Amino acid sequence: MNRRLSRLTCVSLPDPSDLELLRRAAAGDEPAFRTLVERHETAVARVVTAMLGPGDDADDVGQETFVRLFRAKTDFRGDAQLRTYLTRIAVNLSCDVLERRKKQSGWLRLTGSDDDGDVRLASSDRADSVEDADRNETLHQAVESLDAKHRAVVVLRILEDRSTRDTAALLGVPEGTVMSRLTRALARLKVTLGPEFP
Amino acid sequence: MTHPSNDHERLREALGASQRDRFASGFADRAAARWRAEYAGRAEGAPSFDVAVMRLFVRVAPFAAAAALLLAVNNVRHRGEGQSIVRALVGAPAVSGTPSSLDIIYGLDTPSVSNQE
Repeated sequence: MNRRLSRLTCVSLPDPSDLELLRRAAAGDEPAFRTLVERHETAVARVVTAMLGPGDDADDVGQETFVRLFRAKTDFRGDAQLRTYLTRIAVNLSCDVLERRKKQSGWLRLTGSDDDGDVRLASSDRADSVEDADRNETLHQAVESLDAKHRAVVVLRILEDRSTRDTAALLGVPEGTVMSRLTRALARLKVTLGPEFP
Repeated sequence: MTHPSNDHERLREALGASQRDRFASGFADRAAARWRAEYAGRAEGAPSFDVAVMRLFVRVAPFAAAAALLLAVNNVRHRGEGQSIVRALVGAPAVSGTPSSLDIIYGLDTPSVSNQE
């Protein structure tokens, strides 16, 4: 009896697949939804925080990404990796937020106020020295000045080190568009930063 | 830009400074709460708004069609002299043969009170 018990305790069930968890979550199983979130949080957080900077917006987009996945579950048929699918949703939602921010900043500039200091502060909180912080700050601001679609390409191609093909698939554009957007983004950064950007 | 890889490295460094591997603690709780709020009703069998509207339409549409048909039949039965069937169907009054002018319609040819005095 003891032998049987010890054998039973040694056998661990394999982790349920993403599709299985999705199916369960669709049936209202909250632990299954939580497992999905915990399993893919890192992938989503990396892209979203790179696009938006850490903060409430990023958190909100992260939550919405997982809820959208569930809302659009009929679109996900398991032929693509769930992580890829989530990344696509996260990038699209982040682009929406960037567009909204751009509109708001235009309005704030008109009204003479600016309230995005928290993002800048958060982006530089890891810098080791004031000089590093200043340099990163300048570059970060320049990257922030890029519009959403160019920024998405910079994040996916350069920061996430994804291939041109992957990036194109994620953004739903041809590979040539990814390459031209990247070239244009780098050219814009050069214009914005001038001698700061070697 | 001297060398593309240098540019990429600097960009990676700058963007990486704001990149995080995880959201703020309690993210799974917040996401689950949002998910619960959105889908609890659905899981309990409450239909979504579009489904509810569709169901309501399916219920009401036959009665509305029957009422419109009865009204049209009634209008045709009691149509006036010289009123066409089409006009009777939609309940439009018969048009008189007398030509009318804007002056008559707006009563511009009627004498004013001050003139009468």
